[in-house]
Amino acid sequence: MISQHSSLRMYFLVYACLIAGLAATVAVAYMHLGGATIAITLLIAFAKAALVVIYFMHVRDSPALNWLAIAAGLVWLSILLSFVLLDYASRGWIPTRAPVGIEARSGE
Amino acid sequence: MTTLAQTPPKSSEAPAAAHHFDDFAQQYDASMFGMWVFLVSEVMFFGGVFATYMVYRHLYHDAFAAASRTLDIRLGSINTFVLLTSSLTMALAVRAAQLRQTWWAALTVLATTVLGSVFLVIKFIEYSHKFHEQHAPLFGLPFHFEGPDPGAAQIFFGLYFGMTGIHALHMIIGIGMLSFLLFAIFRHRENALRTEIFGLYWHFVDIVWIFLFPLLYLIDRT
Repeated sequence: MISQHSSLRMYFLVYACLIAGLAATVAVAYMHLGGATIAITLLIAFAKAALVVIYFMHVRDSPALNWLAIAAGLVWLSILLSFVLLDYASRGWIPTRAPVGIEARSGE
Repeated sequence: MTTLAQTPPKSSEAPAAAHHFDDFAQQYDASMFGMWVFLVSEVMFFGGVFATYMVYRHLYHDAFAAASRTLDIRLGSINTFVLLTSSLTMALAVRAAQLRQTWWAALTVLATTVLGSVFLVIKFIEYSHKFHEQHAPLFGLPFHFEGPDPGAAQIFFGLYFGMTGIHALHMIIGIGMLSFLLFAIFRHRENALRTEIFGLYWHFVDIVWIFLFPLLYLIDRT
């Protein structure tokens, strides 16, 4: 793990992929894809982030403990984002009376 | 007990470990793990900000798309390019430090610092455009937005300044650390471990921008 270095070729290859990802993400924004745009955009962003983490940040050659730290971060982040989105996206699925307070303010 | 502490084998390759570590390999793994734990806490910090963005974009999608179109896509793309390139030079700096190529390490760290500064200068130009267009809901300045929903646009620009602002703060801290690193390299008090730790931080800030750029600049350009 110490002083393990990767080849120059690999770094430039990863860099080329990152620049290609930048071009792709800008191109996607100009296409008429409707709801698929955000999914493709996030897919490209995660792919770019994965390239940086695995190759530039040398996680590929890291001990399992570092993988565990990263996996834990991703799990907690996904809990944070998915449950917050679940709350806002599911409002109105079941007809309910507006909670106390909301009704009063909407009447302004 | 007459057990003597075992002297760790002295290697000319590995730098001396701090006294509370058995050997340098242990110090290396502990340092890297510590940095990763810090970066995961940073992920959670930015995660809260991204969650806020996600909720408001869900609620005001059309207004967010309209406000996003007023951001300069050329400057944004150039800045993304600059930051990705700085990540490459940082990765090359870590490699050079591991190979003990002092001059290469100094040159690539310097290049990273310069690219980081270029990013901040372009960001400053973008900010001044937004202030000029009265798109900055900051310091009680007058806010003006042509569109059906200026209130939601104000929320977008609040998030824009907030998210890019804390990112820029991380960049400024990173540039400060890299300047320190450059100084240490020239004083010949540098080891590859410190360069690698600083590199992890720099790459993390790059990753944050990888997400910020499409989420803020590229909502809908059709």
